[in-house]
Amino acid sequence: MLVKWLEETSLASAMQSHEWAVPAVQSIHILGLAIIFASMLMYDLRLLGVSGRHYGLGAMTKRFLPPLWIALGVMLATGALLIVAEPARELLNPLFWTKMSLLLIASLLTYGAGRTSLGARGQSFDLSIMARTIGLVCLGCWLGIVFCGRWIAYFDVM
Amino acid sequence: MMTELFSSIQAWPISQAIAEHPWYFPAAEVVHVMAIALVVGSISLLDLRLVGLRARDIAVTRIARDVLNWTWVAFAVAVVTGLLMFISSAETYWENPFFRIKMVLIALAGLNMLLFHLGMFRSVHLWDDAASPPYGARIAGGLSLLFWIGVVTCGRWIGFV
Repeated sequence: MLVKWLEETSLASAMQSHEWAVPAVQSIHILGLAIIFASMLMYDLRLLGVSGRHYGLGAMTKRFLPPLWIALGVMLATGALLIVAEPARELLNPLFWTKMSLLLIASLLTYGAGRTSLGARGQSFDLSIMARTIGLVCLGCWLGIVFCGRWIAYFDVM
Repeated sequence: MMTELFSSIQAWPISQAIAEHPWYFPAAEVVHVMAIALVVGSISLLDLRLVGLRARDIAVTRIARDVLNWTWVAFAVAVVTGLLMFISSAETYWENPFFRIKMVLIALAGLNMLLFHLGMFRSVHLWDDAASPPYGARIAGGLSLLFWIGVVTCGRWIGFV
């Protein structure tokens, strides 16, 4: 199946043959995570209304979401490389799929919140129950993502 | 002498508990990763401002005020969880070159922060709103970014050696 096919690609063997390839890609993955973490923390806490209220929500959206999306791109790219290098480790692991589901939810909610903040209903959205709920759920999702990400290593399905 | 110290640390009941229990170590490690993500993420907001690359329209002191509490709290959590992991295999970690380099880089990052605080930051009211801060501030910000990227990279490599 997919795992076998990926394991046999030349990219996979290239990454496996250089011992430092996986940790190097993982390091970039973690640095991308740092950028996402900072951006999402500032943003989600602002949505929650807990900090940064002296900044307008629109301004915060414009400031913190672009780096978040760029960093997310980096993480998807490095993540894809890590999957190709060790397909079974991820694709056969329920924790990995949990992580991806949380990522999808967090990304969609963040995107939605951003669009609304910059749109016509931005003012009424700011500090609303909806905004605060999204902030809280997103925060939880991102923390869950990091948690699952690290726990994959301990849940050896091989 | 150091090896004796570390092997006795490894023999503590708490160290052995962490080393042997199925999820004590993983739990500490996960929290450690989250904490370090917060440290590097938050300090980079300030560093990028100091270097003059981002948020150039916001006063440096404003960003520092918003960000540094997070950095310190996250750093404390990182240190505590780091120590919990360290004691479980103190001797092995001590002998790991990447661990040592990581500790040196953290010390350098701290020294850099301290020197900046006692030096350039004293005159911040003169350049707070400058889109491009003076050279000393930019160097401090740039060095900080490099040191912390090094810390994360070494941290990842510890487990790999």
